[in-house]
Amino acid sequence: MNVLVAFCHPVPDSFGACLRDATVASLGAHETEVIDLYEGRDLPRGFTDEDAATLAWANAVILIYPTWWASLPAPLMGWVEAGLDRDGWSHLRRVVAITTHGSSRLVNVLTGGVGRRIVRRGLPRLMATGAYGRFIPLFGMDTIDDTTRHEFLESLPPALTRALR
Amino acid sequence: MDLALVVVAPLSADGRELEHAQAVRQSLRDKRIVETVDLVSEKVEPAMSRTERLRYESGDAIVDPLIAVHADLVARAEVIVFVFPTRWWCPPPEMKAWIERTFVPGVAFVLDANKRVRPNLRNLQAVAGVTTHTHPEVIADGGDGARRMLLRTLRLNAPRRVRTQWLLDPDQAEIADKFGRL
Repeated sequence: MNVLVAFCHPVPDSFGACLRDATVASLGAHETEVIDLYEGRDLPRGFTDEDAATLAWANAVILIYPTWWASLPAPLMGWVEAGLDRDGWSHLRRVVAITTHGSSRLVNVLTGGVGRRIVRRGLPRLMATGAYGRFIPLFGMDTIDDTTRHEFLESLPPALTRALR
Repeated sequence: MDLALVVVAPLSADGRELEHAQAVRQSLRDKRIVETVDLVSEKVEPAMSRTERLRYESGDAIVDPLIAVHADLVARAEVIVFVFPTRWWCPPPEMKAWIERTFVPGVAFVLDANKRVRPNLRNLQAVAGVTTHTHPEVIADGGDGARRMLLRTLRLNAPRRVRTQWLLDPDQAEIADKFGRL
């Protein structure tokens, strides 16, 4: 597949950047393009003509971001919306979200899992027939230990293989 | 008198959000002092910056003086009303960014010794959303993200008995009725 990785985090050496690097490293069998929304863009709707071309080339989009207030950070939501406004998602076959949460799994279930619903239900219905979304969350980011974070990084290659099958 | 805060993102071409915000203000004015934050006319920065993120957990998360003024209003408000167009599922990025930068540790919540979130909006008695959408079925597909985000996730930072109100594509009479009773 042709995979567009959209990365959104304001801090260049964040754990999110580790997630991006681990993702790109595990996509060896696929053609990959990476964009960084905090890199020289006009926020919060930093969707460029070049992005439109890259999105047209892609079969799959992987969103890598920290979940803030239950959903995508503003620059990434603005980018996704601008792409949808231009009908740039209708040919896509897969969308994958890899995201960290400060809160626990329980809190996210109780508050309705906004990000999960957008990725699993909202976006796929605007994509190609048979398209689906995969949501890969890490919960309790601030209270877990480094071992758990490493385990999450190591779980990404098989999870992405399944998601992009 | 109690403070009510109306946060408006007037991004529709026809300016409906400004009309809705005006109707909300009029309905709340009898019982409360009403302050307004207009995210467009006040030219609020529309994304969390690197410095803001790095300082987020420090207890000194607010860098922008304009956001400091807004955060003070949020901390004092007994009613907060968000007025915005839902384009797909969420509030527009301008409003989402404002929430991310204003509802920070020390304002909306505090982190205890175990880094657990504890609510801090002690004055808040009601949270409300007034929104417009041209394709309500799209909201349903995405699980009504704006409503869940504002009335569930955000309200976790308010006292337990906080009231909520949600109006989709309301007319003036409906706004007057619902907000007059708040």
